[in-house]
Amino acid sequence: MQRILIAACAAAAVAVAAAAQHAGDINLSIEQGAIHTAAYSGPAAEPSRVFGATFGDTGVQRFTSNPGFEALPGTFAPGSRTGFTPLSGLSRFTGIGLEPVTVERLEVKFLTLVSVVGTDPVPGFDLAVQSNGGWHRHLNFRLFAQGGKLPSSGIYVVEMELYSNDGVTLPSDPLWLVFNDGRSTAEHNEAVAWVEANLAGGGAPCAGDLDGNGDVGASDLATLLAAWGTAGADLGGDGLTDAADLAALLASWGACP
Amino acid sequence: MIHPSRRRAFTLVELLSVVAIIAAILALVLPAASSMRQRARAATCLANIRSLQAASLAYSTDSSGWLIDARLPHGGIDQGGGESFVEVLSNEGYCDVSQIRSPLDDSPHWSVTDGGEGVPVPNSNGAFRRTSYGLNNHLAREFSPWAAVDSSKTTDRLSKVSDHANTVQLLLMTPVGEFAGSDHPHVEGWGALPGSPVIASGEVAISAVSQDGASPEAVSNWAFLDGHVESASFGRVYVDESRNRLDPFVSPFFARFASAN
Repeated sequence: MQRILIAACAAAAVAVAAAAQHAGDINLSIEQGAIHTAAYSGPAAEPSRVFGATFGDTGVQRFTSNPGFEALPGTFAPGSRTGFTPLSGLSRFTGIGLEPVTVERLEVKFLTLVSVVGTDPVPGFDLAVQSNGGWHRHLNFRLFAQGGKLPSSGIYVVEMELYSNDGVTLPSDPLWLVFNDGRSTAEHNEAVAWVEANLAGGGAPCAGDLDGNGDVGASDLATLLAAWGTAGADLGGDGLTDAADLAALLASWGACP
Repeated sequence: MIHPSRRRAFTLVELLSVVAIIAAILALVLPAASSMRQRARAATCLANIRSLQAASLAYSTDSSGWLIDARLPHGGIDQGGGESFVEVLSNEGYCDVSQIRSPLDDSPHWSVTDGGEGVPVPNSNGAFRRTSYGLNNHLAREFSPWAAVDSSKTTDRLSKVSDHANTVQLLLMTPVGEFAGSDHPHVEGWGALPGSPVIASGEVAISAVSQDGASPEAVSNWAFLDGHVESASFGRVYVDESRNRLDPFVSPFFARFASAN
């Protein structure tokens, strides 16, 4: 029994370490015709869709230009533009889930281009691909509150997708930016882990692999159908296992990438 | 007859007095000597950056007016064969390899083979610092912020910049942090006071000469597109997005503002 407990603790520790926030930029590449995101914090690109950032990391409160975006030369078509679209409003981590903000807003700015994310999703904007096909950009993120108030400290989360206007490349899967404003690193990591586990399908791009065998197959389909109408096999993050989740599972049918 | 053992010697008080006087003289001289050494290093750095600016201009003249481009993002992905723009200049014979490192540069992120401490740049996949000097990213083709918004505003050729004498091309990169591994800052993110010197100091060594932290009074070496160099305070180079000598679309107007103040 003691051995089982130790093994369980070790597994939990590994899971927390794996879910820890990723420092550094977001690496973009094209995989199977779509924009693919990965963390660049280790010796190899680690596929990820959840990225942590900390307000104040450049010395100015409630401001950061991280995470940046890095695509190697040749990734995108020169002359095209790559951008982001917020898929959700701004929300705050409660310790057990996310709640919508009230007065807090996230300003995303690049020179004259501005997008302010509040309670609802808003249009994003795009920036030109470099002449060598790379896309190395830093957006400026600033947290503020309406009515001249100061935002409450907390962990703020926004969901977005990245797109290209080249007419060929498909948008990325949803990705989540998890910003820490004045809370501990442990709490930040906890929020990143929660988003990875509950919204990003474990952080892997193979969300349909419900039984974790590295393959999306009949057993996953059976699990999804058994959980129909509940939150049991919710892949889209809306709290319900429905047709959208079935479509997502069928779209990722086969071996995980 | 005087016995040798009775020869008069220094008393303890006399010895201590001499030691105290020597200590006082050292206390006066050492800071002055240190300050002289710092000034000498700053002057050598200024000569270095002037040579590099001349090399950049020679490169542009030989390249139909195209400006040398930045190549080393700080996020760990190599965008151009692992060379900084200074190494490109060096490899093509425009400058000497010894000019890649400023005498003011005490970064721990140089590799051991380059005579450094061998501490990798943070979040860089183990990369080391490649140059002390950086390019104003407004003049770098691949990383120009205006080019990202509107490609007709790309300022990547000498002919596309209106005021060469008031537009910075070369600067000193920060010795620590992620940007220590890069060869360009992101000027578009610097904002306005009070944050701008703090954000800028995370990317550029804005107090390399004055060694006094992040403030508008901090002094660094800057090289301008016409070939001249200045040891200038940060406030004389950058105030905010619309008043600075880095964005070529506002630099001519800021020059008038700076000279009026």
